[in-house]
Amino acid sequence: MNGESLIFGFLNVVFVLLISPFFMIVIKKVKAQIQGREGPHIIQGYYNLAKLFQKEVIYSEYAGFISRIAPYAALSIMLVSALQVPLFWIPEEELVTSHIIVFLYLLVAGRLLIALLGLDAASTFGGMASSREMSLSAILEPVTVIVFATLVYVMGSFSIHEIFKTALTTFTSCSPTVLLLSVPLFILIIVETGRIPVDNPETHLELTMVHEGMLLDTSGRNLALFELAHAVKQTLLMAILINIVLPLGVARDLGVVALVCGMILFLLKGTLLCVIIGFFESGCAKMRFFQIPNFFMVAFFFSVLTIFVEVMI
Amino acid sequence: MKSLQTKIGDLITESSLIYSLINSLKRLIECGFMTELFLVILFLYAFSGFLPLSIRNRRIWYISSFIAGCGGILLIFISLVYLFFKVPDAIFIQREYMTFPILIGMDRLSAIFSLLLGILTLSIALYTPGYLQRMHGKRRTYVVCGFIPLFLMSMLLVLLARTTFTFLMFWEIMATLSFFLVLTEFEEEKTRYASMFYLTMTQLSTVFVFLGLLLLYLITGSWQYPQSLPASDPLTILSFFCLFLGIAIKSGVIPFHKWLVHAHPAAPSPVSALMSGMMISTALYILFRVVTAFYAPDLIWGISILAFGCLTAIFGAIYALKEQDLKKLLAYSSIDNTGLILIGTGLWVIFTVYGHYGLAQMALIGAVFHTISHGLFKGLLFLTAGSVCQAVNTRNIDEMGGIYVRMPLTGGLFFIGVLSIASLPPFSGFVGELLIAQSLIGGLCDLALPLQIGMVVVLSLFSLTGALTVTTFVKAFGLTFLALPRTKGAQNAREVSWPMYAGPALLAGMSAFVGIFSSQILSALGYPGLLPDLLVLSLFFLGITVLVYGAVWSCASRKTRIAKTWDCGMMAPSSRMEYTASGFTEPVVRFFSGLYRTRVYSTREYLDSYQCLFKSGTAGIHLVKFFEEYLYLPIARRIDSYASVVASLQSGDLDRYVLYVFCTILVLMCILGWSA
Repeated sequence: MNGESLIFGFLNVVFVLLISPFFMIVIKKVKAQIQGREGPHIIQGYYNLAKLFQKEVIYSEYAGFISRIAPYAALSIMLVSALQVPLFWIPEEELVTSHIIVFLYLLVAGRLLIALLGLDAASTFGGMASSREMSLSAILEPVTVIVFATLVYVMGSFSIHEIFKTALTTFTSCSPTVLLLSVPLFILIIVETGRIPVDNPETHLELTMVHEGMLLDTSGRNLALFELAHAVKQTLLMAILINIVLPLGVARDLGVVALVCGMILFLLKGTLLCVIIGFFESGCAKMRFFQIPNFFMVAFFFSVLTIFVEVMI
Repeated sequence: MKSLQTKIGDLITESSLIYSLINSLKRLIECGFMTELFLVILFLYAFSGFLPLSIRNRRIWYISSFIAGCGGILLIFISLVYLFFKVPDAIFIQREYMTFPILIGMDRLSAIFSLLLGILTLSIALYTPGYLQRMHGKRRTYVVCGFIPLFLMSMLLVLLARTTFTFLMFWEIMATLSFFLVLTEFEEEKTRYASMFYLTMTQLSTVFVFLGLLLLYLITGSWQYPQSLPASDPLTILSFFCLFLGIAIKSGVIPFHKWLVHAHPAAPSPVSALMSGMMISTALYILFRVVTAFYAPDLIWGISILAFGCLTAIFGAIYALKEQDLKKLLAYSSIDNTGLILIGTGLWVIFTVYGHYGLAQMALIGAVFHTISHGLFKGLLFLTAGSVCQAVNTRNIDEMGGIYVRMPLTGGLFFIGVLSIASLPPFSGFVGELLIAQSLIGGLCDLALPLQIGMVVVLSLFSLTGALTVTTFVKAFGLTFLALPRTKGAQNAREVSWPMYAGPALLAGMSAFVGIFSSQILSALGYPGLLPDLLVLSLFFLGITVLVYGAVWSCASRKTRIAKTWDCGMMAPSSRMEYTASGFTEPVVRFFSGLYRTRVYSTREYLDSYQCLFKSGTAGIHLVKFFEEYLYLPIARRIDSYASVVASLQSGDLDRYVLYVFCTILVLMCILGWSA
């Protein structure tokens, strides 16, 4: 734990917190444009958060300690994960362990808390949503593990830092392995952040909602914390895809110019990916709930295929 | 980073009081007092066992538990000495009984498990008196109170046995004592059924273990533990599979698991905690010993253990998910953890055969670590679930709800157990799973092609098990402890007295401690670098949480209001509107409909002949008990029909028996004459 890695941790967390609401809004904007609407202003995300932080919190009278601690825990878990995933600069030393399975289980921890939150307020919607969320995660998890195992297999290390370094130095962005890997990683972003075709982040209809349903009884600063955590999660997953497929411009040394370049490039690449996600979301319809495992299987298939391509080559 | 780690390591070892205690014990052991120390422990356990059996007085519960607790503490310290200091393997007792050698001693492997036993003893000793007070039935409470320390002692002796004969003796004592403990609430039909089932299966297990050990005697010609027998002749292979089958039955490997699901919930909660937390671990300890020491690693062992492990893990998790009975759910989840541990053990064998010793070591350490942490958190979950079931007077999750508000400490401890069993960092359940997953992914990278496919399959099954466990325990915690109570019983639940949560609290603390300091503990044991450092992670997590809380506290609005849950304006949300446990798991059941085999039935009656006006009807969904209906019952029926044939030979007439004797002699004479 030297000074450099401490600076890394600070910069990475602050950067993630700053850009995550922006990426959320970019996707919304793209979708709105495709639907022929104007869409929200580009800094609307920050306004929303500021507004929510200023509002009062309403707890259900049945709610217990889960409703009180979950918002803070959810954001802290995501920020600890943010220490593991470098966005624009890979320092020599890791601040906390950036083991990819630890990262995965931190995501699971966040999901467990939110699912319990859904049950906490004794609301039917919450129960329904958390049941759906946990059922989907039961199917999703083996896929995620296999995707990450493929990543480890291709890049030869468990550490996310090392994986990014390998991607930066040895792989060119058009190698077939990397292209194959990008498919399951992209599906992972869609699924983990609850986007169409798995979940619809815009509706509050009980027929479709998964993620929103669990947060139905959350308000004020708690809701803001959850939304921020959700946005951070999306940025981190996007960072994994971006820094493997298009690692160009990621800084290796501590230097103002390199860091600023890295940040700007990451912002551009992230915006590009958000536009792609927006197009993807607009291009497909919400799947029936019991059809969703098929979608995960695509990711599973592509990961296994990647392994075999690597073996054959 | 390094300096921080070493500093913390120094801090742990030099925590003055414990350190000096351990050091003085170490000196005692070095001076050759270990037999005396061991006898003191045995005496404490035996004394606390026989005390309640001979004196009928409520105070005796506390005295007996106190004595057992002292024994537990002493055992913890002795195990720590053997675990962390380089003390040569001890031999406590060495005798010869007739021609059978009796040898009791401790090495590092048994020290780990006796450490777990000591911790569980301490927590059970705290918990039991309170539980007995709320139990009905006067005389049996003394029996339970007395048999628990004896049961613990028999398990300790199984762990410390160093010859096959000694092991077999204590193994059988352990089985018998636990049978009586399961039978405690004998008035209930279900309990009687469960205990008979258990008796049959455990005797079957003993038969196989006995056969295996006899075969070993035939091969080696001694009752000593054999050393790495090669799998060259069929007798060795047969002996391995006999031993494995015996252990598999005892540790609840599917398809021999059915007794576990009946017996563990039927027993009083401290006993269930011991059976799930310790007895399974004892069986697995024997498995580790058999696989790593008795036989030379061979691919046959590895693949069969791995296959059984996968089957057990996935089916255990799938059945646990659907279970409505809180204690049965925990029992099924013990089965799935057994499966995970078997996967680790099987991987050890396979990697050793192929010469990947680093991966092999990682898998085995993962398996052992998971066994220990499973003992800790399953004990914790069973004890807290026992408190809840006793307070609500039911084991059905659908009749609970809202317990957290009524029993906050028990609920909080159960929550820690849930975090641990759901293998979330940095709790102990995570470490074992991480080690096994790492070795699986390592195998994926290093092995040759056909085995790589196997690794992908095992890895996906392994992670599916993990994910299903998380779902199961979201259900178990969420529907039991959160939201509104669904029945009167749940509404009137009251928090238990302090020793009844002090016992589980010890286990919860250990579970968190073992997880957070896992990499330091493994380094102290001499296996550095296998794990990421979870201590730093937890410190950062704490720090960031404090920062987030502080930032929100200082910058955001602090207004808070308590209101009704939003329910589309219906004004009075009741517990009937909540999701039930069966509803919660319904989507997963749909996803895995091929595996669950549910049976849906409905009957309808109508008022008119055109079947238009509905009068009444019933409907239900039942889970088909696959193994019971397709495996156990056919075998039982076969045995029954065979027995009835044999029974017809015994008519009770004297003349017919004389005829049998005459015929036998005739046959014998013929055979002897022939051979002469």
